[in-house]
Amino acid sequence: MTASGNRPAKDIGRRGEEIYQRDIRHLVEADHQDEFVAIDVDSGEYAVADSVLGAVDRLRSRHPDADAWMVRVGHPTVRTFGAGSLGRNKRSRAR
Amino acid sequence: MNGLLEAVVGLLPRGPAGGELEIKAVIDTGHSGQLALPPEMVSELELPHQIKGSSATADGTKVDYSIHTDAVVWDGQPRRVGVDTLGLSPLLGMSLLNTFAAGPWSAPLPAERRHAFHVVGLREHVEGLDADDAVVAR
Repeated sequence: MTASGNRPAKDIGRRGEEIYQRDIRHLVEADHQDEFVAIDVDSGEYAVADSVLGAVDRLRSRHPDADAWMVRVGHPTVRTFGAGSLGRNKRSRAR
Repeated sequence: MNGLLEAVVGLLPRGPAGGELEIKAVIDTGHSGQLALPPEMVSELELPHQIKGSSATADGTKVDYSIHTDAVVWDGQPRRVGVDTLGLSPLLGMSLLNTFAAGPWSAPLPAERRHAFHVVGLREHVEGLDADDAVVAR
């Protein structure tokens, strides 16, 4: 059983970023650049791994139902998307 | 190649309940993830929600999104991948392409296929796709 995903991303994101900046960032930046941090936004517990699924699995093994937020160490976002997908989506939306 | 001159790969993502979808994913060289699917496809495959995160598109727009887990038929074997729920059409990300390039398909190919990039082998596992839709990246 995992979290429902119904809680607004904005709320989870705000709490997750707050916890990361305050409690986690200084612990992981030196040794875990480019790795992924999965954060339980209620308990503040977190897991670090070199892949998204690795971090998710580690956190879920301890908190299967947590509302969780992901951060990539040293990056402003977890993911990037290319110009091609942007144009494609804009064209699709215009139809 | 599709009508917009984008490179397209046929994939057969399978959800944990066994549901499958035959899709054509555009290769997005700027996508750092594995696979992005629109929300309706994620629902149809019944992929379990795992976590939320943020992403940035090429124009700097920041978007919050969900990551789900999935299994994709890959070299004849199911492989668990992370699926970003975003956008309006499937996108194949470089993390998955990289995994694929490092897998069995990077082993020596038969002579007649050595000119072709390994995604050619991938689409051969998807039945019923029009050969004209396949990508042969050289």
